[in-house]
Amino acid sequence: MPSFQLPVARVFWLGLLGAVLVLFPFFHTWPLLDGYVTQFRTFNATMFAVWLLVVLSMNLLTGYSGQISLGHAAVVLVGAFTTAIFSQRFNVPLPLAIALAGLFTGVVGGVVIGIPAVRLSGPYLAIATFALVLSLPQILKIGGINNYTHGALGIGIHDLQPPGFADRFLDKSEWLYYTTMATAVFMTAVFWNITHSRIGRAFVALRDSEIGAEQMGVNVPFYKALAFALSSFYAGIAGGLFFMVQAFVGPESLGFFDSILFLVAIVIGGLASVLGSVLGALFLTFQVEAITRLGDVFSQAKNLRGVIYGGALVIVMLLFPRGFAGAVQAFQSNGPRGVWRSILARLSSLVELAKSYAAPRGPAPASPDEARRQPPGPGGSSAS
Amino acid sequence: MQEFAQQTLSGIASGSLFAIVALAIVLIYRSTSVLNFAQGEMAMFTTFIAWSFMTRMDFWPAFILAILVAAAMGAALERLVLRPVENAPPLNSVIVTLGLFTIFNGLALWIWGAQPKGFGPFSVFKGDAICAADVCIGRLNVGILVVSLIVMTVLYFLFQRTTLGLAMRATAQNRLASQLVGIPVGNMLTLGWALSAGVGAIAGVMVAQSVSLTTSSLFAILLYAFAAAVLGGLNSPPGAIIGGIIIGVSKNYAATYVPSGVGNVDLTLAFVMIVIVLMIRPTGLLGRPPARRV
Amino acid sequence: MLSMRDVHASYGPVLALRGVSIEVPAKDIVAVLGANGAGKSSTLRAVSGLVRPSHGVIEFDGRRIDRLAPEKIVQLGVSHVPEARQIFSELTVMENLRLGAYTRRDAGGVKSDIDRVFGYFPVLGQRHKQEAGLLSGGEQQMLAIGRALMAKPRLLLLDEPSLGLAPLLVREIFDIVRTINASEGLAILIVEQDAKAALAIASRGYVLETGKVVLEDSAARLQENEDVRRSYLGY
Repeated sequence: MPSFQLPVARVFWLGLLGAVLVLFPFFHTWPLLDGYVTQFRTFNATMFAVWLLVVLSMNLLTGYSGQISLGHAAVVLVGAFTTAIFSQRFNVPLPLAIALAGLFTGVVGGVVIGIPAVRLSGPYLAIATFALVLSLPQILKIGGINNYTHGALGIGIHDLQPPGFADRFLDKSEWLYYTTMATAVFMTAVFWNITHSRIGRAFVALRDSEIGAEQMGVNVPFYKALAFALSSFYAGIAGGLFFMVQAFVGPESLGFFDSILFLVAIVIGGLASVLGSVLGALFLTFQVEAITRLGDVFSQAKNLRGVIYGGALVIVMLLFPRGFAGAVQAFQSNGPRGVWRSILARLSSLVELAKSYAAPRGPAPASPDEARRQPPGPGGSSAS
Repeated sequence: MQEFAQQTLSGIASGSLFAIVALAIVLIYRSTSVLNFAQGEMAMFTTFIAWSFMTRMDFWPAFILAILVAAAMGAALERLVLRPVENAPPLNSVIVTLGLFTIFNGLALWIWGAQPKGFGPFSVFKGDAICAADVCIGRLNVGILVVSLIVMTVLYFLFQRTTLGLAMRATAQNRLASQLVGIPVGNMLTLGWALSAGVGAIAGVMVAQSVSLTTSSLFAILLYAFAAAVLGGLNSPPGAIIGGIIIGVSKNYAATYVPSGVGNVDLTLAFVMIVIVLMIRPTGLLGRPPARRV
Repeated sequence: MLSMRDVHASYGPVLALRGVSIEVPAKDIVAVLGANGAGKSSTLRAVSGLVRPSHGVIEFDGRRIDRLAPEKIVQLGVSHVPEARQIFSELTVMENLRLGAYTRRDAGGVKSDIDRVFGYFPVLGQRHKQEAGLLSGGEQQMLAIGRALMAKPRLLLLDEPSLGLAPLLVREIFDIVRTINASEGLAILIVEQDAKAALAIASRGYVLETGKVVLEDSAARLQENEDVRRSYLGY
């Protein structure tokens, strides 16, 4: 989030943001705004809240802790199915079912993925999670398991109604919006505090150099498992909300391409940044609509979706490794010329690299002694 | 017993598909320490190029031309797109290759459409299955195995018996030291990508003859190829071949002997094998532990 | 033979060299002393092309080399034995030496040079089929020097050859360095924490502090210098 200098200004902006979030479902009834905001936007905003939790969860694991997971869609899907099975089969109340799903994915993510992941480095972890996301739909349909998951049919919600006390003021979509958005706002605040605490700094140290983190006294296996557990907890809650909002989940609801989209979201939004996660969630919310609109102007856009997203991944990774959030920060501190200048500098260094191979940056630490002296570098990005 | 033998042989046959794609993955990982998630899509893309060549010329010239185009493409990608992330954390290079993955997938769909293209078998790979005592293996599968072995032998010779290969191995191990002894490190990395894109094209053309050519045909194989590479060891070319065959055979056994009430388990099997291998022997059957990089 | 004039260099935002001027005459041994982080290694990295100077001139045999790629600088006759040895630990001793001769095209000469390296370091000859990573620290240092010699350099850059070695081994290695200097007639620029050992074989010395040369003199006079004795010789 942008850092404002005066606390008064900060309070003002946060208050304004809160007011917008609270009043958002009614914008479409206001005379001045109804031309711009349709009722459908309430659904958009609800999905935004769900995606925000997904992006935060992925950013915690990948952006802050440097662990590459291509299986994030699978974890969200497990969260959705857990919620569905608890609430629809065992008649657990929905909010409790969602909390249970978060706990379930958190424990599974921490113990089943996190502890083995302690021994795995980047590429191996990427392959294992890649295999997970591809095989999960099949696992959900395997005989025995499908008694609970209903196999390819999936699970729907029959009757979701706002509880009695809210029934009088809110319709179903408004109720969904408020519960989902309130959860997302609360969990974002918690996320902010975690990432700005000792735990968050341990994650970043882990990402920048595991050996360095070890030497700084960070308990590497513990924090790695913790990163997986926390991230999976957020993903599980997001999955539960996803099921509630969509009122359905099936084995193919989220898959490998969604995992890629999540990755696109954190990269173009900004790695290791809460603001970046918000921007990434906006991307996930509007990407289908954006491509469709682009299709009105440029008829091939729809067929070139993969090229556009892939191109965005490559270009952002090469030119703005800190994503949009990085650009926003650079804009705040240096103004538009500063942003432009840093892009130009980056471009010219890329041209230089294509011509000749440059030595790895910085002197290699010769001895453990020397490695200890060096503070952990800023890596590809820095915590916002 | 006869069925078991037949299933084993067919498993080896389909394993050969995974083996040859795994070989390309291992090659690039070994020479540049980048795990190329776009390997399958690049191979698919160049196979489509081979297909367009084949509408104008015979199989062999088209095949060779496609390999050259693929190698040039691999070299260009390394220079323009991967060079900046080669010294960055693996996260950056994985993201970039995933970007390439969706780019190639989208481009192929846009250029050639979703309709499957009739593709072979061609030339010597066409013909009746080869049988011995009621157990048969398709000619194409024998061909794929033979081609994999030829590729591997050529690579073995290159890496173990030539100075260029020695320099490539040195570059993969220690770039700083390689620069200091005067190896043009950048060129070695470019060459590594060119080689593996070339091998990818060979793999694509061989595999597509067996599974027909669509924009998704190689994606289905990519997971098994990754499983094979992890199983054999990400930095061991012979491991890739052995891993591919093990995966192929066990996939066939699963399809034959798992009761039908359970449903399909082939993808699950690949996942479970990857997880088990990584837990027991994280560097694979023939791989060696990587040096710890700071 | 080597002349550095007012060389500045940085790693990203970190300034490592802030005006270093050093002369190495042909066939001479010159030592660079200084504390950790004074810019000693960076000086060598600038010469061998691993770091591109942002300012200043580096000439070798009257030819500017500060814009050349590392492999070109090796070809001109400058070999760098880096900090922490950086041998190819998964390759054999023999392969390491062959790689040292990567820029050369005379197969026959390479063969006889390998024998010459084995002459200086007999233990490498005994272990030529072994993986380099299995060698002891001292043997790895010998291999790193041997590998550098394989390029037939006229200038050898040595970065902390004593690092992590027992005093007896340090003496052995410095003796061999002196022998190599005498019999091959090559110039050596040596960077060392062990100032005593370095000044014992050098004819001139430079003292670096925070990326700048603060003192330069003949090795004999530096050994007498009060400040040098207190800061680097420890008596």
